[in-house]
Amino acid sequence: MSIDFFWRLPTHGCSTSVRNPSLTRGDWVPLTEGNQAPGLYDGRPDGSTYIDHVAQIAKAAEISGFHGGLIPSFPMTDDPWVISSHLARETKTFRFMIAFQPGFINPVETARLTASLQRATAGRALFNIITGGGGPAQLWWGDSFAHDDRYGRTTEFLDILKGVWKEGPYSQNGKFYSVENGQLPAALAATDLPEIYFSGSSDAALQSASKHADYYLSWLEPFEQLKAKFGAVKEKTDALGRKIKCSVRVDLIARPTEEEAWADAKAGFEATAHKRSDSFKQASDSVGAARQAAFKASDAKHYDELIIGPNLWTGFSLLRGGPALGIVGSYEQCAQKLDELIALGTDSFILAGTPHLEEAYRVGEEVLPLVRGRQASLSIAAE
Amino acid sequence: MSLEFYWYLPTAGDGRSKAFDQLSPAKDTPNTSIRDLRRDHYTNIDYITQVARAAELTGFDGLIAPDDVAGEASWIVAGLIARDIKRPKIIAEFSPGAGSAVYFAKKSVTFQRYSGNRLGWSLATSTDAASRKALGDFITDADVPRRLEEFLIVSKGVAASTDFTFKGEFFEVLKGGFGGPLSGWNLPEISLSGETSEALEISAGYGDVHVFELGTADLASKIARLKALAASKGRTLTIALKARIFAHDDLDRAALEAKRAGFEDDAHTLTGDYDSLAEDLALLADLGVNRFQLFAPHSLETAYRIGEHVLPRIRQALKRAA
Repeated sequence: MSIDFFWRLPTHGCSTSVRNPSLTRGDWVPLTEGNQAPGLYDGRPDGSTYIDHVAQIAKAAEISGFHGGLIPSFPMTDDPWVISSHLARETKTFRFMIAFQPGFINPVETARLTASLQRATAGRALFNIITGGGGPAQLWWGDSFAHDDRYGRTTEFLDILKGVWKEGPYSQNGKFYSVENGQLPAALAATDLPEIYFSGSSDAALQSASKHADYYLSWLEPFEQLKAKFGAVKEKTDALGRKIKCSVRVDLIARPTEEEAWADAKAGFEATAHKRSDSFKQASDSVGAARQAAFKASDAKHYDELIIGPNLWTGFSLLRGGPALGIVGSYEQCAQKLDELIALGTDSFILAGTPHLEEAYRVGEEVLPLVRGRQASLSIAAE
Repeated sequence: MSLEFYWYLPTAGDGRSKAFDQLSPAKDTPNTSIRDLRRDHYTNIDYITQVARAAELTGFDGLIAPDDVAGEASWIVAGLIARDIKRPKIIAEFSPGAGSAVYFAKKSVTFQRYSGNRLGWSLATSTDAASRKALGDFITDADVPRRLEEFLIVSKGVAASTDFTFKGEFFEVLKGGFGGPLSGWNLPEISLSGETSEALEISAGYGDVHVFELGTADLASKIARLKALAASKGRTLTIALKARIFAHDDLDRAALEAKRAGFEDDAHTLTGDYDSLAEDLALLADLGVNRFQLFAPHSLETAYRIGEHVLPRIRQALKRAA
């Protein structure tokens, strides 16, 4: 069985280089010469907006062999539903993995939105359901439910979304959501349900994932730990009679040689020395975020203190918001790491690199062709 | 006096889409004696985007994606056309029952950033409890206006401040608001509707546009009352009128088309040739209407007819008067 590769669309700006992690693409920094989307032309904003840059990345990703991209959602980002609908008509094969929290939109409305998007794209929408998060950020969104309650809510949300879409007229009387005789018009109901990527490391998350998820999505964690986690997910969902696949979300610095790759990691590390803040030192009840914070990337004095194994570096959270652990190496080494992850149970990847546009081409052209996938799994398992 | 013209997009199909889209209530049986290469390449969405471009090319000021449960979701349609439509405003119609006020405000910031502040909201909730429940919305009739008001308080609050806290019965937020490049964008223009005193009060207090339907009894006095209410709160409102329209260069043919579509002598419908329609619209404008929101069973043809023939007549008359 083949492996699915997704890229990431950055939803709050992008840098021109991993060696200099300031966001000069998009308007998350003040406009100056050389910025773009929006940029300056003759001293004035040039009329482009950030969606023009995101469109470039989506097209680069589809041309270079990615199935689509994850579109993250946080308080400071642009919105994935708006991005997906804006880019639907100018992309051809790119699949939109929409990140959202079920608490913020009604499930029937979400079914309508998604089915319309499926029609507009011939079935290119999928979900990255976020349930954890938490802390002050949840109340910023206007959501006061507790961590474990939120997973119960996600389960009900997906019950109703699938029910009105495929079994209408559908009724359900739940703790968080109810619906009476809900259904979609026939043309919308005929579209395929989106594949569901599900995140969450807590027990409550796993329980919920086993009912509705198609893919269990994790940030990269140390391989043995990840193997155990994927094993537990598959065991639990197998027991509930539902096969679930596993996906890893990971950044990489892939270069022609390992030396160049580490040189870029080091340069990026040193460029952030003056503002050494770890993007995971924030109040949250997310279990996955706590695991990434445990790497204590911001305490390191030198980039190589953060190397935890061959081609594995925990300094990525210093370079951009997001998880700490990622892959650094030559094209062959990066492909080898991906093969190792496939061998331990990974069925799909969401990759990213900075800058997202150029690295989509690079990883698509240089790394993906070297991935041996399941064939490699057999030989790695035999070693 | 300025007049604006908005056109409704046929999100649930119209007479045209039956050839290629099963969303149309009357899907054609394919004629197997001709080679048809369309297969399922096209949906109503391809047609909607052409209607949107038609309205832009013929001089309409804005487009409205209605919240019609029989059709495509309004927010998706608004997004699908946004990259193609450069000038007109785009209004998404939705119910405050569809999601959280913060989330809709946030989603709108992205839309405003990409479109240059061209998004509008039209907020309405079905008056029928069974229809609401089918959408997962179990609010009582009595609570509908109160929820709308809370939705407006919270969405306006987070759009205007970065430290907005509110705890209501339907919506809440703690230290809400948008930072960095997400700050400083206009909350979409807010269109509201309804004829009850409660509806008029909310419009006067929070709305930017109030939409009446053609055929509303005592329209002139309702407009006057609403304007006075808004003025008492130090606010002004745009008054919009929604109408179905049949236009033809020949008056009899316009009437024939209206009759065929089942809207002969219909109180919510304008029927006429280009000159008479221009006169009718001018008379309605004299009652205090600033914006016309029009739709037709033949969206594409009628948008061209109105845009090419009726709008220039009205705009020239306005210029002469000025």
